[in-house]
Amino acid sequence: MRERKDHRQTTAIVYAYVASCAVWLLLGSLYGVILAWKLVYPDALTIELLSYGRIRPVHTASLLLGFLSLGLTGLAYLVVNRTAERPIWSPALAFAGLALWNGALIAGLVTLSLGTTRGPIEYREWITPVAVVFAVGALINGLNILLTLIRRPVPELYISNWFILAGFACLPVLYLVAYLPAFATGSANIIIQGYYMHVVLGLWFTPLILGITYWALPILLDKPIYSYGLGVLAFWGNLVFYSLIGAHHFIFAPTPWWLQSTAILVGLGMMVPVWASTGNFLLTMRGSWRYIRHEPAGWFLLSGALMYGLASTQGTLQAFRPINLLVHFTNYTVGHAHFAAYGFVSFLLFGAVYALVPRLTRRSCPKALAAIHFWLALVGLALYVSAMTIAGVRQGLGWTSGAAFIDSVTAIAPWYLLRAIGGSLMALSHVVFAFNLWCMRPHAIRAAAVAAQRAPA
Amino acid sequence: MTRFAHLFSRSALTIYLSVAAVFTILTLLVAIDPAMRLKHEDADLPIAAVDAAVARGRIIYMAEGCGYCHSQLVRPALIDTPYGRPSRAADYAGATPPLVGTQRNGPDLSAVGERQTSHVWNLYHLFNPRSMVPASIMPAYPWYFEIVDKVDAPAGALTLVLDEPFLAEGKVALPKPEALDIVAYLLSVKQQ
Repeated sequence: MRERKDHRQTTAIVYAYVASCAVWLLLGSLYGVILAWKLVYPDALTIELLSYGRIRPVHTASLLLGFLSLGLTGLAYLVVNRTAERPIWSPALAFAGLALWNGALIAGLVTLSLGTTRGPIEYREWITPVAVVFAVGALINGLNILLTLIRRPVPELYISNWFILAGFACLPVLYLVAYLPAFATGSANIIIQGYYMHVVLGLWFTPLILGITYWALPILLDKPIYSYGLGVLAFWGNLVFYSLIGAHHFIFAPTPWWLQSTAILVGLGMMVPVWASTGNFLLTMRGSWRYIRHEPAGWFLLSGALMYGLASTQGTLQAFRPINLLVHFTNYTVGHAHFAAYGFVSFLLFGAVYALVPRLTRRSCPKALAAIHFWLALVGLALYVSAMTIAGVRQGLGWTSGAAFIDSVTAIAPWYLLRAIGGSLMALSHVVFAFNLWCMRPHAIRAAAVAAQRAPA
Repeated sequence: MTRFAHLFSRSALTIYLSVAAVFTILTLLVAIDPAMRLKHEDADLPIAAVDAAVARGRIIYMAEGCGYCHSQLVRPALIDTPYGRPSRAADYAGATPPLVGTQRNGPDLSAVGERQTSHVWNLYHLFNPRSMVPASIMPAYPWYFEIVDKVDAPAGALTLVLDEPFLAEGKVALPKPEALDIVAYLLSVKQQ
């Protein structure tokens, strides 16, 4: 009886987070589609609240802090619950964290749309009160997960939990530094900006999604991870190397040269943990190709693992000074950002949802619809990233040649169009994903819906 | 050694605290300490006096997210020579936050106040960039203007006169105070 109650609670927590994440995914991609088409038709939707510069941070906050943070935390609760063989320490705190994050996201959307911002400092545009609400949510969720794991009956602490704990240990430190008033002014802020915008990806999203994948893949394929040791190597490598490379976002800025050089060099070191995990995932899949071929969850996990290695390698290379000089400030960077945040983190997240949620709620979605989601997302992303990469190189070459700036704008117009088409396909795939998630809803929701229908009007 | 390894594979608290400790130390090394030093070095830099219109204009520049498409960072390389001399720490003294940016969907603006000195050009360009640069993809900002009938425009006031498609027949645009503030800011962005 007690066990059934625990299962119900865990299901409710996980599904609430994942459903919230889908809402922010739809909203954030709608903003993304508007942004992309505005670069093709700049006079479309000339409305104050939908102006390009106002909704760009709404797009990034909805997807990074909303979609990814909520989805990853929801699945993290599931992984922790299953590997620790213990119910979540406090379901109430988990729901409080969800409410705080959703509250912060809504407040952030409203304030940014109204033009209330700390400036164009990526992913920390929210004014301090909004950020504090988000940070409290992160602390609460971290504490809840830590206490669940401390009070577990199994002796071993599975590798997934290392990664999840690491994400929740780093986020508060990172967020605090990002909002320290001492560095709000002057060139010191450039150092903090590079550090924050980089580390939030590498020590919040990356450890969480890796931790989840180290669990989802063995569950999907019904076999252990290829190498536990490679996982441990990836864990420490990611923590140490990733922390040090933020300065490569502002190469040639008036920040210390040694800091920039260190960041570029340590970027090479990142290849170790990145390919350790990518290799580990691929070697785990070896021998199961026949199963993966028929399983959309497997397609997402396979593509996500590959794109993790590829996008990270691209990131390391584009920090090198000669390459950086050419492609920094261009759309190449935008292509890279989407390759990594979408191709790597989001694809693995989608794969983990398709692998884990049906096993939790005991309801699945039609395989054909999951396949449509996958192909729309993959084709959309491929168009997006190739268009932005070509556009970026074209911009860099144009600027180097000394041609007038406006020439680089007209030259890449076709690539902006292709990007808008690719981005629209990605957004369309999210509508399919949301429907699939609805198909996977827990029985409790279904029972409630049936009861509501039967109730006399 | 085995006991040490055991501690990590068994204790959630050990993992949590050691990650927090390692990350905090590395943060001190590559973020806090260099930022403190830079702040200390910059303490003696003169902060240019800013008049009220310029300060208000900068806030609108941030609110409209101009900095997402316009950098204010000139790199010491040939590719950046059209935008001015290489940026120095002094250029950002007193700036909260420095508006360096990460993208150039539009040109760098580090020295735009020296390059484009016309108050009137800037107002037309703000109202609709395509009225001045036909191939521009910058957004238009009509909400910083009042569109009135030509006959109602006050005599002597600065009025924007444009044909279709920018303004309907018989209409003119009057800049609101915010438009004047933004232009005041843009004209003030110079490299000393």
